[in-house]
Amino acid sequence: MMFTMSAASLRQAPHVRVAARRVGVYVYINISFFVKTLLPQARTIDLQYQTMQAQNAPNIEPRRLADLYFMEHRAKLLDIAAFLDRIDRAKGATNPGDHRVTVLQRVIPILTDGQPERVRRILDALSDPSTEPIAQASVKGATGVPPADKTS
Amino acid sequence: MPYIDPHIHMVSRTTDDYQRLALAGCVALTEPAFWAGYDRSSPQGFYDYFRQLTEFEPKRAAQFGIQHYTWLCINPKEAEDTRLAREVIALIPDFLNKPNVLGIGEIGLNKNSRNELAILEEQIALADRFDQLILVHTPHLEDKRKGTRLIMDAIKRNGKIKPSRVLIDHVEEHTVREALDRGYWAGMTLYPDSKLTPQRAVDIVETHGSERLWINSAGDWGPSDPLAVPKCHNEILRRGRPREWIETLSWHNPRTFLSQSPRFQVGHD
Ligand SMILES: [Zn+2]
Repeated sequence: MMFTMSAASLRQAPHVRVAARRVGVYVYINISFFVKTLLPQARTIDLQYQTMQAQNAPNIEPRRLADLYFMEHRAKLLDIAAFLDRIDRAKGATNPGDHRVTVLQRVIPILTDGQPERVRRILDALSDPSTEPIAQASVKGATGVPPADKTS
Repeated sequence: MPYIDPHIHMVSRTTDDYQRLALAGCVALTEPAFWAGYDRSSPQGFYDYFRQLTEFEPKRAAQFGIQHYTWLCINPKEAEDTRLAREVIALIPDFLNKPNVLGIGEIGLNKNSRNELAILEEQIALADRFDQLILVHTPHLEDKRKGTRLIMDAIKRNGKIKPSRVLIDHVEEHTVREALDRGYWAGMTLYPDSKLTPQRAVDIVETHGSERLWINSAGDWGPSDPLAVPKCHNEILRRGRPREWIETLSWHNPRTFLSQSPRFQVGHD
């Protein structure tokens, strides 16, 4: 609809052609990477294709995104660090900690593994992996991580 | 810019919130039946709630030029007690001819239990029997991915409901693709702590496109923001994305989905 029309007219603009060329280089690098590594992650290719297909708008310069969001996320990172320090201070010899925090710490390496779709993969790691309905709902709330007996 | 908030619980909000919504450009909203934060003790409690949704709230909204629509059901959090749930389901047909009722919702699962699933299946059948649209609530946090799949499987098992007449709400990065791939509409809920922030919602549009997607505030009695939708619009513009994205997510898409009910008359001349 209007979405597609505006994308079509945007494609005429010079900065969009530059961006499109960059996307082309990006695709080439990625294809050669995956051929070299014998396509270990077919889903990643699929996702990158969808990403480019769906963008329908020029890429935003990383510098501009950092200008918009860096300070906010720097503060969020420090919040996570402070939270983990706080938990450590509270932990004693007799108190091993909290299952939720343990699982949270286990997914943190996803942030720095260099692979795409970090949010989706973290959400998947924090999801109940079982597939059958449970016998009975004894509580209404959710804790944010799978129960200990379902955590790999 | 006029917009639609297609999922907000106005029974939990003040009249001042209606005014704020109107000032921000909201011209229509839809309010699904949900859990009140406590379990109701009898079907009569739901009867009164359905009257509130179909008689009282439309008048309160109209004071500010907002069109109020609603969805009726027994929510999954109160579905574990199947006897109560079935008594509530029996009340619904009498309300389906009220002028602001768009369908059955928000039905779905909470803890993914057998009883919740049985009541969900009965309400899917109710929607089919009365040819109603469906608004689906998907579970929270660790239960979402499993629950979203169980719900979509249940709709498929029914066999008579077209996915194009169902909106799967509260999608996140790990559920949105599957919902869209199966032909459903999908709703992105903007919450301060759980579900999506405006930034992640815009990320999802950049990644998956805007087809069959909408955004909503799901404003209710918990931590939530009735103005989350215009804040997400601002996020789109702040990021330099086209204004058409706003029109698609908050006008064309909700209108297209909701207009499948002849009762929905927003933007029709
Ligand atoms: Zn809701």
